[in-house]
Amino acid sequence: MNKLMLLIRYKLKMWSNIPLRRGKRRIPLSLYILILSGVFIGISVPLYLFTLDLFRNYSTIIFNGISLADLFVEISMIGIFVLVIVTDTPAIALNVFMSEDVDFLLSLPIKQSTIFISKNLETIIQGGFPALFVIPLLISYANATMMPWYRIIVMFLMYIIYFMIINSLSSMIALGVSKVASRSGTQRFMVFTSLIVYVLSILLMSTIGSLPNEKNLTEAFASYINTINLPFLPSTWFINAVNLRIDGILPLIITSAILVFVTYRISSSGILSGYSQMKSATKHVKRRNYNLKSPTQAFISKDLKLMRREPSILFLLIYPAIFPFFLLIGGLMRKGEGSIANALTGGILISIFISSMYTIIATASLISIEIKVGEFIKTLPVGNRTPLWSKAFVITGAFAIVMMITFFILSAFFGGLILSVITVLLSIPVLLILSFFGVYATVKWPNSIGGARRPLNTTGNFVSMGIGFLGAMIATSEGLYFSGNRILFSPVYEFLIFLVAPIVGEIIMAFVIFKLLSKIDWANPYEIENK
Amino acid sequence: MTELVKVSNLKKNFGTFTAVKSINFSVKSGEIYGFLGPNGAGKTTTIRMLTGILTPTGGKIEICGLDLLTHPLEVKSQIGVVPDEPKLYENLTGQEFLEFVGSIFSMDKNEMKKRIEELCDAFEINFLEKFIGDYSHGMKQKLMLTSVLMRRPKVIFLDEATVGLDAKSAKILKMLLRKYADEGSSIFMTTHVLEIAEKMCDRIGIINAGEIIAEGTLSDLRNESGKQSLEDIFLQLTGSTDEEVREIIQNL
Repeated sequence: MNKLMLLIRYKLKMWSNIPLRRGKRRIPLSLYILILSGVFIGISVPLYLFTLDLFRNYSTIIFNGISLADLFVEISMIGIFVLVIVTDTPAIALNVFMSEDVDFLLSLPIKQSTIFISKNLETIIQGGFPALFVIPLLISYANATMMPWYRIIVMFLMYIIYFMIINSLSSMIALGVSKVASRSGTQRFMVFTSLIVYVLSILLMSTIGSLPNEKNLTEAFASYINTINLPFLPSTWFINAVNLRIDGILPLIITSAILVFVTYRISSSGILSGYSQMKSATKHVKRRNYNLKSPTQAFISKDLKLMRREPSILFLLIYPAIFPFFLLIGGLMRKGEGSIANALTGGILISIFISSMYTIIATASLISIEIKVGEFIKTLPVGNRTPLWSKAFVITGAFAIVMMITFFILSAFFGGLILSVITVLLSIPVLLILSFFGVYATVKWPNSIGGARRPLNTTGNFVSMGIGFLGAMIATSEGLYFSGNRILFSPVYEFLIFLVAPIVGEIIMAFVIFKLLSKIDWANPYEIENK
Repeated sequence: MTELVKVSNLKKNFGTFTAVKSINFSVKSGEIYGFLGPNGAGKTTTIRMLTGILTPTGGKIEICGLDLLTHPLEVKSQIGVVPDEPKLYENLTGQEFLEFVGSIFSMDKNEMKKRIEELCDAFEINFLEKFIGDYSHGMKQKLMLTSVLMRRPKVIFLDEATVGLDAKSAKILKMLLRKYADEGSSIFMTTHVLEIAEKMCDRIGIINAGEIIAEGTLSDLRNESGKQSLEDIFLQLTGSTDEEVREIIQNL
């Protein structure tokens, strides 16, 4: 127990030391807890208020002997089950079974089980955060259904047991993953899980929002009953347990006990069985074909590959593609006069806005990969600006292509092709300028330990958001002008404010950013940071 | 023999700290030059300046007759650099990385393919289709060596290049470097393994606290110091004696 506490204490110390490595003051643990609590409360309170009315309405609708409120809790439980399995499994695989720091711990006189528990707890703290958001949902459910205090206690106890089942399953799957998948593949998958979670959450919210009255609700949920309320699902055991039914409490406790015991035994010893860092290296050297290009093309081709394989950049590229569709779903639901046309214009503009905002971060991510191998790049016979231009073109091109494809799909169904083409063409120069700002931001405000996922420090993120917003305003203003939606009465003012002013702004922004870029040594940001 | 590397009054300051203090040396064609020194002596700073990674505070570097400061790209196209800890693109495969390097140096496709196959056979590289992020240190080192040796550069800089290599690969590398030197290349290498320097290097330079404190062939150094083994020579020149080391051991 002492050693377990020691391992946890030092892990916390390492986390709180992160700002020190960036040359800042150490953040006390209490402040971390305060920040996390703030985030939790900030999300939980609106969630509680939103679901309270929902549960009040749903608890009066009974179908096949079960209330819709209960069903909604079951759906949430299934959701959290999938979410935690999807996010926790790669995290446990990387943090427990594929971690280099476990190799060191195994060389110390510490029991394998202690190492397993400490690393698992560490992963739960990092990856199990989404599971906390069920808590306001459960409180709201308890309040809406006027649950007595002892049932509330049972409900939370059962939720802990339910979470232990999920965590045990995650550990078992992670052990299997560590034996068949590569470390880099698992890392890529882990970032993609965030996207899956994001899309699932948006879809769930859209589904809830698209059910406008109680009658529809009853009919819609009725079809779910046979599939969701199955006796062998842990979510069904959970809701039965909350209702103090023995066919819920017993299977939940027994399954959890068995799974925790088996996982603890197998996974603890599984740490020692190791993982292969290199799978199936070929026995014989294959006759390969090599594709050679010009130096500039080689950089562009390499940056394209790195961009395609960096999930955090792909993640940013997906936003401008999916948001217009969500707006259109809303427009289709409303079915009012002109609502689809407005939603289409809104969708196009929001896509440009998001692309402008994320171009900076995406370029910064790609630059941070290059900076990591900066010394190697400096030994190559290429000018300092070749890698920089290559990245700006790759990121600008990627966002422009994403927008084009999205807008073409939209215009195929709803028209507005000309508007789409004009807005994409108008936004390309802005995106290019912003991606150059991304290069500047990575050098000026680098986060030396953030990697490609968090390339900028806090100041950098704030400044980039501001500049991104400015760029987004410029691009969307131009788009708005050509959309034909008249906001001002005078066409002259309209022309000056929505076209001339943004173009002038664009030119000034380009001038300032190129001036700033000429003063920096983009390949040595961390040396600047360490001075 | 022509001097492929010529360093005059090379100096590097980091703020008020002087890492390298006006050093002078040269490496001739066909020569393997060993650059030795204790930790923090200025070896890596020197090699970083020689390869264009770090700008010197003062002095001149000429490589293949070209001034590195005024002709950086021309110089870089003629040199190869193997760092002590290769930092490579983790999300590229080994093959993609070699294609990238080959493209940057505008290599002939067939020549490159032939050279890669030879080097893959020699270093037992059978993992080019895998992502670099999954490589061990030794694998990364082999890939880096392949990316340099496939070009047969005129000057090769190696910073602790044998670290992480298995015995056979290390032996092949040593023999290959000798062969390249015999064919006219210049090899500039740093190592902490004095045995390697003793066996491989034609001339040795020892740097301590940013200054070259001794330079010459092994026999020159032996004559100057009166010691036989390079280890004893090195310890004597860098301010440590056998007795001092023994005393430290006894007190531990």
